[in-house]
Amino acid sequence: MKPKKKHSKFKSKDTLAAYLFISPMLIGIFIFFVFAFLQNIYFSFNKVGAFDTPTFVGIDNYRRLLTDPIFLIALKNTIFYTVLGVPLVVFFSILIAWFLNQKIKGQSIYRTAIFLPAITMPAAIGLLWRWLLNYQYGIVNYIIVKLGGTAVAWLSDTNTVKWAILLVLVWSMVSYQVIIMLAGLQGISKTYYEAAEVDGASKWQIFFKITLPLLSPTIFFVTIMSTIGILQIFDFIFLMIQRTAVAYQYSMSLVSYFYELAFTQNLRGYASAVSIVLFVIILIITVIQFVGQKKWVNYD
Amino acid sequence: MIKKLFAFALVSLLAFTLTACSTNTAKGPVNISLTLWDEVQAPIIQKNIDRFNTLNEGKIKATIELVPWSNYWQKLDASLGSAASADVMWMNVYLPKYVDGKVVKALDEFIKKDKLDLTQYVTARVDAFKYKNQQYSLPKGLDAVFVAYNKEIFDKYSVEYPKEGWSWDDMRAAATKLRDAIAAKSGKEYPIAMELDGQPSYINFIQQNGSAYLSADGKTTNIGDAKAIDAIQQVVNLMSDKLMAPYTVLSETKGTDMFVSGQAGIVFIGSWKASVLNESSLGKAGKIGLVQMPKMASSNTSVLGGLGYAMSANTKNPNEAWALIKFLTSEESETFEAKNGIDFPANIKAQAEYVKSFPNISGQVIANATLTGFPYPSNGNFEWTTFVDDAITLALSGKAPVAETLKAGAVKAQEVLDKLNK
Repeated sequence: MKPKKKHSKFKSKDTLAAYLFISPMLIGIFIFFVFAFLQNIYFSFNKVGAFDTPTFVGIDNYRRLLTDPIFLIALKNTIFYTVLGVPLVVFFSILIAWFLNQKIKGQSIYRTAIFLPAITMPAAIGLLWRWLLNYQYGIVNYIIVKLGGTAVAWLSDTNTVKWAILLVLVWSMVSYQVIIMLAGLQGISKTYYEAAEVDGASKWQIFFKITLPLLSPTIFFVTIMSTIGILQIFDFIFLMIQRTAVAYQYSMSLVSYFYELAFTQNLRGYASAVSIVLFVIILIITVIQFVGQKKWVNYD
Repeated sequence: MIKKLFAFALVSLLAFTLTACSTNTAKGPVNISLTLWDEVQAPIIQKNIDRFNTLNEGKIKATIELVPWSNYWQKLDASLGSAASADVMWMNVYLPKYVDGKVVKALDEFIKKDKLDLTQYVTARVDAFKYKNQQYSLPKGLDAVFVAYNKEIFDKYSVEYPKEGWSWDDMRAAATKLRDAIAAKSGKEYPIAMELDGQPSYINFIQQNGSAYLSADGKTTNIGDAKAIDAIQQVVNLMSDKLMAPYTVLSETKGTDMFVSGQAGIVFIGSWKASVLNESSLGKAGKIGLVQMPKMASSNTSVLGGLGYAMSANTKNPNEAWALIKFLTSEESETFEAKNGIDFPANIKAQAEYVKSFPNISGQVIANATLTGFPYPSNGNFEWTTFVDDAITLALSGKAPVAETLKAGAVKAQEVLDKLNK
């Protein structure tokens, strides 16, 4: 009897202390995430200026989205970045991680060099690439011309600007995802490889029949994270393209449009509607991916 | 448990009363704050504030809250409407938004009480801060747009310098000579460069050609009419005739940067860049000449922007805030700013010092441009401006024909304007 009582009292005091310790963080998350998220949904059904109290407008904002040509452009661009970006990020992070996993000379130098973008501020990356890709004065064009080609207006030609943004985006994302892929590769038990070699499997067979399937949980994770990340792209566009250049209108993303609506045009209700649509898109895609994982992801 | 709760309640009650008491002191100076964004101007303004604090020793103490330009308006918007916002703030053409949001205080009662003479300021700048017949700000400075030219390039290619009173055709002629001479010597410079922002470029051209970005009554945008279309077409022609750097180059590298690095013979530039010109190696070598903009069909009038000091509607210390505003816009304070070349004063008697403060460029040209300028066209709403600016951007880029693009933009912008003015 006595020990039991002591045990339960001890447990509830412990739980109380635990809640007290995490309450500051919980309160912060509630205010800045949960409450803000719910307020965002509320705003999307209202007209909200910089200072006015919100006025209810029902689904007007959502109706406006359907016929807003700029929203459609932003959506199209965002889809472009995602549909092309995710496979490229996954492909290159597997390739580079596999390469980094081989026993070669200078392995640590390669690893450091490849990890550098992951720890560099996006602002630094954006501004540097903005100069590298400068039509008149950038190094990339300088090299192209020296090799006999013609300079490309990477960031101002409306046909190439999306590719330039995609390049920088993939470059910086791969750097981070390689770390995760490498961890996944190293998590594959050597016994599989040894058994395969004993059975006389070729290098290709080993890669496709052993490595990839065992890597699939990591690939799944990288796919989800890069999809969610790329759908929200904003910073490189903001940093690399002048707002007053026509190339902006050909490369802006949904979050770019949200930013402009909320902070330049002070149409915060409409901006909220845009962000809710983006949220729903991300949600649907993520759910599809989770449901689809049964078909190709192997959990041992 | 009850004992603990009671003790806790007692302690919190004590704590609350203590804090309430501490804000109630009648003795001690009143603290007021001024928020602004320009880190170049801040140290000079701080000296003016030090003088203000000395004069009001024991009664008022003012401090500066410096917020970088990229966050200034966001932070202001977030803080205005609460008592935590700064008492005095820098204000520009965005004023109507803040008046409509009821977060800035009208200054008329203070002006009347002190019998402040408003004729000491440039009238256009006083009017720029009048909204719905009330005065919301006292003007601090004004900025104008003019032309800077690189004497080295003109000398190198043997072309005569631009002369005051020149026309758009004169500019084309000089640029043509430059273009041909540069090509003959395989040079890489461009005759003309331009910023793609409206204020140092198309807002002026549209007005100079006889039209208007926004009508004087703030109700219509005229960018769809013939004179505005012609103005933009002329700029497009400059690029297609290779008299100005191509759109690609201009959209990736800022015109000012190109000019100070010797890549352009002529640039349209605003007085907010005056110290950049003055401090550049080109400027220090005495190679920068200034001249007013070339005349288009109607005039060569420059758009006049400018800052003012406004007061928060929720300030706890309106009288002290007013004292600061009056002080900072006085002849003495603005003369000090002019001596340090940070802003062209709106206070007329202080303007003479500005001209003297730039050893390497002709401040007089800037002063002259302010005499014939027109107020920055804005009604505080940026929904319609996006349609206008994006249309002009598209037209300038050459991706779409000028006339149709501007007309389409004008229609969309006018829809918004009509809703605003219902």
